[in-house]
Amino acid sequence: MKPIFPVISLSLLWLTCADLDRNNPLDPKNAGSYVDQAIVAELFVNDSTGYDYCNYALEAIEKISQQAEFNQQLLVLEYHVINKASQHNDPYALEACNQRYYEYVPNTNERGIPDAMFNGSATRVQGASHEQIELRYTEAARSLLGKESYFGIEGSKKLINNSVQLKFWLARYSSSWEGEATLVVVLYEDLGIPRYRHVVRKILPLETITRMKQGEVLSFTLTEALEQFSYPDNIFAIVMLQRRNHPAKEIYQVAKL
Amino acid sequence: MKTYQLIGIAGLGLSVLVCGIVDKLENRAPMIKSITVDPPEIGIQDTTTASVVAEDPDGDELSYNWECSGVGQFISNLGSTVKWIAPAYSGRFPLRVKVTDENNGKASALVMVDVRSDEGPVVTFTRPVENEVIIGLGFYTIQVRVTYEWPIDRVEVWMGADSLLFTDRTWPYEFTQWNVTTLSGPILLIAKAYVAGKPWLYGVDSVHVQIEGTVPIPKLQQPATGLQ
Repeated sequence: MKPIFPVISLSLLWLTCADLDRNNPLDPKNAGSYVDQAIVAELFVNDSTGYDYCNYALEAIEKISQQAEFNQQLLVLEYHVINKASQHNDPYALEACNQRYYEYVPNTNERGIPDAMFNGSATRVQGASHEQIELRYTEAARSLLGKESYFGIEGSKKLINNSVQLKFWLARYSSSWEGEATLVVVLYEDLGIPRYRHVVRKILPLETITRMKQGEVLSFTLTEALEQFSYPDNIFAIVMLQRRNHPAKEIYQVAKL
Repeated sequence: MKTYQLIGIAGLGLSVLVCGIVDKLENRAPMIKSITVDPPEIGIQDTTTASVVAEDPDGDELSYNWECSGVGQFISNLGSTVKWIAPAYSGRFPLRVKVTDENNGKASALVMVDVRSDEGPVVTFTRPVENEVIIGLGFYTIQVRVTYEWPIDRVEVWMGADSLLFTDRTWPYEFTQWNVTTLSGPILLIAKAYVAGKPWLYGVDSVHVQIEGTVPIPKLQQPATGLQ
């Protein structure tokens, strides 16, 4: 008779779980579920322009990302772009950063740094001055606070020898979705000095997502070598789900690993 | 004889009547030779003298009656020369004179008087507006509106007090070539509209703008692939 009790108990448990009301807002299978939309500020700069504008921008974005108002919801990426017009070199400039900038700003005449995109180019803050830039960034980020997202991203990173391993999950909340979006992983390094806290070192476009069912969870694992990084311990990853084939290139969701 | 007498009397009466009518028909209207005001342009509530020179072909005596449609007032509106006091506002006003002869023959004429205050034109920046944030990249278009009753000689736009950005002599007052690339910080723009013929008289407006500095990023040159 003894083995019967665990079997009955498990059956009851199984029945109970199946009959659970899906009213947990964080349960992807709940039709009314959502998560808070995090904000990513993608700032395009060059540290050798001969002007201070990029410095103003970097100082401002690093400052406001620490403000309690944003409650760790404002993530920052500092893309150093190659500036061929400059006599000087920015040691952190990457061609990949230029390519990402060109995707945001296809019109050559409109390209000028510093240039910041907040969750895509719909909320764009270009240029900087000592007097205004902190206010402009704050207003831009504030305008995106408290929005709902029907995508969730969670995960972790682990350093293994000279590599970083990323494991993360993309979940669809609320209802099924069809569209075209790209998962983008950006590795950045915190060099430990002001204006160099979120220096982008690698951009890894992962794959295109075209549909997700309600409650579906996709998992990803990624390992990336870190030879050229100054401080592997200070490597972080930002994962973004970004709308494709749309001028604003909206970020549906973003998370820091 | 009685019949002839009657005919004679009737004929005489008729000729008197005809002569009277001819006399009446032949009264010619006065002719206005000139009408002037001196000075033709005065300040508000200043006085100018209006004069008319007219003559009557029949030599009749002429009377003069001036009208100003209730704008300003004549000290006396009778006589070939009158004094008119301008109203308390500026504008271009007509003074009319009617010249009448003894037989009610009439002629009329008008002359315009410019009444100008010492106020300059009303100048307004329509672009940029006060405290506008301008991205310091490329060329920015400045637009200025000028409201004034009199001709404008030119509109100047200055960056601060020392740097003349442009001069425009024709409406619309617009400058499309302000190169804001690499400018940064707060800048005061000043627009001045100068009145034609009065170089000391101008209207002015100013706006504070904030230029957010940028550095243009030219496209990277694509490496040659060698492919045809």
